[in-house]
Amino acid sequence: MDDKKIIELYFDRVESAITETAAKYGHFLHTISINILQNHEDAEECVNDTYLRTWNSIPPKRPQMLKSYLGAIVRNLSLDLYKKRFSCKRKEGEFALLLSELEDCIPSPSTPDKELENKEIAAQISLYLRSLSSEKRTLFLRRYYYCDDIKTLAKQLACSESKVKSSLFHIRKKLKKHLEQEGIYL
Amino acid sequence: MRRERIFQVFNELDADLIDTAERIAPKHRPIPRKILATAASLFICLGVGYIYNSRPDPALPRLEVSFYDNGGMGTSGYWAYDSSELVNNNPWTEDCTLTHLPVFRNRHPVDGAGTLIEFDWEFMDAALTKVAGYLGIDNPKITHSAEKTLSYLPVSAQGEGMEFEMYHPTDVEVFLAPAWDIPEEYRLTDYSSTYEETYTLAEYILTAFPQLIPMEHVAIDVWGGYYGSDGTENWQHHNIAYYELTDNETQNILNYNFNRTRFTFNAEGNLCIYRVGQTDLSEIIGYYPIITADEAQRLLCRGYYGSNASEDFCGEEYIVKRELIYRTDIMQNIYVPYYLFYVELPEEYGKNELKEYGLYYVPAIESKYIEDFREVWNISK
Repeated sequence: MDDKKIIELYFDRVESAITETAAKYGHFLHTISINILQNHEDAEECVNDTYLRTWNSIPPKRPQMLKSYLGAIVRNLSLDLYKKRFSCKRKEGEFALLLSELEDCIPSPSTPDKELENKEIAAQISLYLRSLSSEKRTLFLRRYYYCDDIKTLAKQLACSESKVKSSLFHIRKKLKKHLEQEGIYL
Repeated sequence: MRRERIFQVFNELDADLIDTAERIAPKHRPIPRKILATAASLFICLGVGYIYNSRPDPALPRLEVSFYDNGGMGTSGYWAYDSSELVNNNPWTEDCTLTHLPVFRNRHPVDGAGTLIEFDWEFMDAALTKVAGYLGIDNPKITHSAEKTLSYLPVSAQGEGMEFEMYHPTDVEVFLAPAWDIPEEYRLTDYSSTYEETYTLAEYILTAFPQLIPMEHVAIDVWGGYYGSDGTENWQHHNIAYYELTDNETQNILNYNFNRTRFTFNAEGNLCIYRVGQTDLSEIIGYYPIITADEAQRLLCRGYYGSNASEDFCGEEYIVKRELIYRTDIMQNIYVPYYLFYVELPEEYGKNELKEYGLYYVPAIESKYIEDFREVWNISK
């Protein structure tokens, strides 16, 4: 079903809005959540919460791009659950590694206009990503949006983990340079 | 928290980019060109009864070697007025005739978050007991921590006026409280130290505390010579280390890189921390053929290197120094020799006329033993 029609179902408060959302985006949401949480029950909980949040927020919201709207919700929910799970422990595993990789290449928005800055930074990152080859762009997004682990990426790209790590490092380094040139300092 | 904010920024990326990345077209691993080329050569040469022998030794496994494993730790460079100020006592020299060097598996690897993946209590206990013995403490009471991460102390022990700790299986650290006195004429109380002052102190320590450096033939390594700066003032650092010198060139290189004894002094210039290198080198993967320094330099010039320097490699004319070392930080999954090039960075001139020298690494083992060498080590990939 077309995204516009699904959104209209939400506006009309028809419950099949959720069924249609799940049918179209369930796999997408589950992939992201399981990559972060590494646990099926927790991932399922986050995905179900995503549907609930979507139901409660549309209307009044009318997202332009339903998929990225849903993606943002499930990523935030999964991150919250991840933090809760590891609140008493030193954070471990692939997701902790992923977060640490990102830390060095993007500045932290700390002003009241935080949300606007997030969008501006994201726009610059998107611009940078468009300058990459499709393979590098996909690699970067699979790692930092979809949260795939290094091993999975190496398998999917039929190359060594070393190659994946070094490619990601180079992309992050060049992203950092790009943001600095745009006046976004680390 | 910063990293979480960054994570949330990614929620705002363009939707079409997220969309196109949803599926990766599965790839098949290509047959390495060298195998194809070798197969072709073999096919051609069989006709004349000659086989061209350029294949890697099948007894030596190919290695996954990346500069950026677990984040690519390491110093990016040094500041100095002139490269001649950057000193050390590396036993490797340009006259070195070694053709092979050992590669070791790190038996105590950590993941990117600093958690020990594999761990050997017995090794750690033995290392700590040995160093405690240097200080006259036999059978130290050793405590094991339940946490096995870089922030916690896996192994520790106490003695009178000292605490022994082994954060990770490369060094035993001994904290001396109260600090051991160094006579005033030898003390380095300023943050800055010249080579001569530091060497004099190193000689004094050797004679005053021989029990701390139980080596038959000791090499003093006064290393550093780099500068720190607050923008107004510059100060030069030198550090003291010792390693055992033997008749064996390979062993000297290993001792220099892995088995160093080092000291830290407090603000009054007295000895407060004593560190003994105890890296576990019990698992040798193999003795690998190494390239020459000139061959490594050619690779560097062609863009095959790893570096944390602020600039890409800017040309052969800027190379000021080169040496062979092992990268020994705890993030290494395997311990491999490298050629380390010191390169003047022409863009980085400042800080009261100090120049910056970036560090660039090229694997010293032949590339045919490194998995995906062209893709992993080519800076333009």
